[in-house]
Amino acid sequence: MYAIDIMSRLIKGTGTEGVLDATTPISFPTCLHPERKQLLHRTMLEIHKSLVIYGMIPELTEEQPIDTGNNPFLLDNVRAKKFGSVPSFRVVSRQLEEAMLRCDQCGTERRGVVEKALRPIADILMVTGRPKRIAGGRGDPSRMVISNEDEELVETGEMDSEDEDLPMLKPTEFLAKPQPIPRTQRASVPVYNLVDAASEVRMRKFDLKHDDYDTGPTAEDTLAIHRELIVCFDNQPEDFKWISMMLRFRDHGYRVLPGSLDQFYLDEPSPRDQLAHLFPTPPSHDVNEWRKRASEELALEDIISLGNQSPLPESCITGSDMVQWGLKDMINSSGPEGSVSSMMAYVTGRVDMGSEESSYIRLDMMKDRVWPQAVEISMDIDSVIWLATRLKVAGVFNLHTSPYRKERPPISIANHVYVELLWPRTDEDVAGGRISGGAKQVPLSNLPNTHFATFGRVEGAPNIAVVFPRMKHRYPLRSYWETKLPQEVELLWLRNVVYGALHRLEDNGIKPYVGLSYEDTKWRHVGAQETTQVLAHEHLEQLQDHIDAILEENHGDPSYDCFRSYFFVLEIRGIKVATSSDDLESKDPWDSLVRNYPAFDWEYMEDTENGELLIDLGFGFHPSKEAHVVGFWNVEMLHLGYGFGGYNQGITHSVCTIPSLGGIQAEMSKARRLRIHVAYRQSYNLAYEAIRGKLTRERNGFFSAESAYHLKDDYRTTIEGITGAFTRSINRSYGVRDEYRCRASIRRLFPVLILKVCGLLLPRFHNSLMTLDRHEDTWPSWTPSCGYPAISGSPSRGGV
Amino acid sequence: MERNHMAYLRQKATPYEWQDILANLNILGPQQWLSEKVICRDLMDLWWPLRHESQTGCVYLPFSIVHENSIAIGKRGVDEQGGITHFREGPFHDQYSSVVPRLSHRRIGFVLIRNLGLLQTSHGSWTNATESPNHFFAVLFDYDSRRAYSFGAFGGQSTIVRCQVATESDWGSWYGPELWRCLACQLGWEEASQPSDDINVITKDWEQVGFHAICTFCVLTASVNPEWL
Repeated sequence: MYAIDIMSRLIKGTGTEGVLDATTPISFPTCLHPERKQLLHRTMLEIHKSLVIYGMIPELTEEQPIDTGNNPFLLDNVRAKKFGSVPSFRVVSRQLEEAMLRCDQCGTERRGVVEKALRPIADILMVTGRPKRIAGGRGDPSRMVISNEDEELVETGEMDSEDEDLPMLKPTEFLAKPQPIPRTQRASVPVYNLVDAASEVRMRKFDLKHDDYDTGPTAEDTLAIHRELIVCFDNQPEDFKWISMMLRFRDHGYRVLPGSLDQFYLDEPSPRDQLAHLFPTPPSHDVNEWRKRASEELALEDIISLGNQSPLPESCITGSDMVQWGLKDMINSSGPEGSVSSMMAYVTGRVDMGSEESSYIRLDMMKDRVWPQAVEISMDIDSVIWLATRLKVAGVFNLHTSPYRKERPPISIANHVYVELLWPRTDEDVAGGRISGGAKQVPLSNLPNTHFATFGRVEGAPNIAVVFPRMKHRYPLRSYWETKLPQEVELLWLRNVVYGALHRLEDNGIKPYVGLSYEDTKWRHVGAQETTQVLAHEHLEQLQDHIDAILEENHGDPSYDCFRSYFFVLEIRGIKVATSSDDLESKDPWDSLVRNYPAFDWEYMEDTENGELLIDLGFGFHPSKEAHVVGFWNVEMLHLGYGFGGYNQGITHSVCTIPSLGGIQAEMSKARRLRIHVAYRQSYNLAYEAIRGKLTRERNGFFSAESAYHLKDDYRTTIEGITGAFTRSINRSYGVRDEYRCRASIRRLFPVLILKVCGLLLPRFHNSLMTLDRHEDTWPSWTPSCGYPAISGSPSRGGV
Repeated sequence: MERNHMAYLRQKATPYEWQDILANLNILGPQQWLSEKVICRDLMDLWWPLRHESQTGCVYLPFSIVHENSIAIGKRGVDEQGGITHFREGPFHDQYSSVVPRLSHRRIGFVLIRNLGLLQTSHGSWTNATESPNHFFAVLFDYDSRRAYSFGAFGGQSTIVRCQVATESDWGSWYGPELWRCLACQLGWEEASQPSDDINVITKDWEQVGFHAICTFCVLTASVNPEWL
């Protein structure tokens, strides 16, 4: 019993019997920080009162003047109740707050307050968010009617609680209202409305013990440092404090949530809705309406936003005074190479009509469109991304034991994966004992990361990166996110954590082979770019336990705390060749993936409890080799499909300067993505593969505008290279490709998806339907490969 | 405004009372020993506005007066009975004359310094004791039920607290019986000051881990104003 309780009973005269016996154990709270804080504030208030009274008693002011010391403004501040301006008060107050942050007892009390505050919300969600009992299955909306009998049963509690129709909630989940989906995405075409949308969705429940929500610097701290930095940068550039990388790569107060890695809601979307977003095809009447509007109502100012001052004549729109040429005409009718007519056609865009008259050429890309006789559809998984806090593999792996050497971190470009982070607390939150109230989704590529393990050194080999969200920051006074760990910071991770965990492995058999320290490994493998340690899959689990233990043991040490809240990202990229399948009915790309990568426990990875597994599901449309055609997406029609599927505007990569052909890459809008489990789609033309490689990836082999103007060597070399690449590929046929990044559970829809693709598309290609099909123009247009430089939009690095 | 209140306000406004606290606010920080000025001042500020309303809480006596009494008792020696002053001549008359006659109970509370005994020995002096950590403990005298409570008078065997004058809790070590008698006289309760053996001394001590002066403060604050809890 606390002494205060005893005293309270004594004074109130209630329950004093036996309280003060000699045998009653008495104890005191281990922490009295709140009382100290209260005492501090009350003392200041009392001094303020005393000062006011002092001023009201004239004889006192004459008898006993106040010694203000060397701080003449001290009394003014106290008199005005501006205690924050009193230096000693500020210091003591700060000391107390810091002590409270470090104090376990205060932390427990704070958590109690937060839990108390949060519990009603969670309870409300658990109770009111639960859907009503539904008669029939969830899939059929016509059956989603609650019968009156059932309602009565629910009220009287007579219905069996083990109803199969209710979503089974795990202890870590709760039901919530989903984000509303906007009704329109693009102006061109109405967006698909979800048919089977549930009114509540499962989400990961918040857990106060998931991360250290009551520690870390506040937003004001960061701001103060930043302000100091600017002042310092202006006045004393030599003392530029942020130059210190340990100050940049430190705990900035970001924390992860239990559902941080979830890209989507935990509910499976209805197959019908999900299928509608894969190869979305707007209804024919919408397409026709759009086409009609585009052809009839399109005015000049719709095309060129220059108002009525357009330099182009009306005939440019109607094309009445121009020659309409297709690609074949451009090759055949413009004359031989080097002739005046060919130069005129390609440089000025005109054709000589004789008798000193010339006419402009209107290039119609669709004029020579052909329908190939045979089109094969292939399906593959191009890449795999797995986000997890706890790794589990089924085979041997290589643990990186040296710092990352490359220029860019392992995850350096946006891969359309987002992580939800709890924002740093404010000073108010700290004073009120609350956790931060703001969470935000940030791109994974904005978070500092480095390599952790690898499964091989070849292209397409799986790599595991470790991500440290607490150290997220922008480079000071610059605009980019600094995500590559400096070697000094990474050595802290390696020396303190990775090597520490390695040495704690219980297996005696491996101990002689594990490097003693990073210096030891470096000396023994002198000159090696990177060193790895081979370990078995059971070692990985022990290793993670030890890493967690080391971080926990050093809780409070800034050089360890910055690494907490870490998680792993497994990436397998560029494996479409390994998983591609032409025989869709008998061979599943998922089976190919599992067979080709036996070192992973795919079942474990697929379970959303253990992380988020995303796959890039790719579909290739390949004309036969004999057809000699090149496929291009019709961008205008593709936009209709993207708009109907609710995708964002994205980026359009046109082929050369022709706006109607090219590719699109776009993310799904957020609210829809959460529901439909499709994050991203990209459609591009496979002719790009003719020149794809390091040249296009790094873009350092291309010429600048200046060198083109001056006809420099790099301009000539590049042009010759590209021309050569296309000339070599002249006898090949290229198709088009469509890719979707979605949760791996979409594999349950593979049979239906194959039916949709084969049943809807293949017959049309095979039968060469030239008549108006209701989905005709939403699919690729095929153009003969007659030497046309088929440079398409680049899927990931921008077009040429 | 009553005369006693004016006296209290005047004392409160004296710079001597608060200037030192403002200059040494760091004693309120974590891991710091509180001074008697902070404790006593805060308790007085708490109790004084309640002096007529709070009929359940005890009367808080300022530390300085009780401490002077302790010093005087120590100098006179334990066995001597002299030096007992009555209410009118005593130190409490100025401020407490409007309070004490109206009380429905006779219950007082105050804090003491635990190493007072050290001051009385030849090894220590007042200067040394104030420079060393002040180990406060809380005392409540209930004259009606003839009970004396002491909280934290004995700090255990911890090495942090070296200024121990007794090996076990004993109210005689801090002149408890003498203070009982002396304070009763000074507050005008002569009949309660008669020496008798029926005083029930209830002692609550705990192992000192340091910096527990604030605990003492809590106990006293609660005793002065139950609503504080």
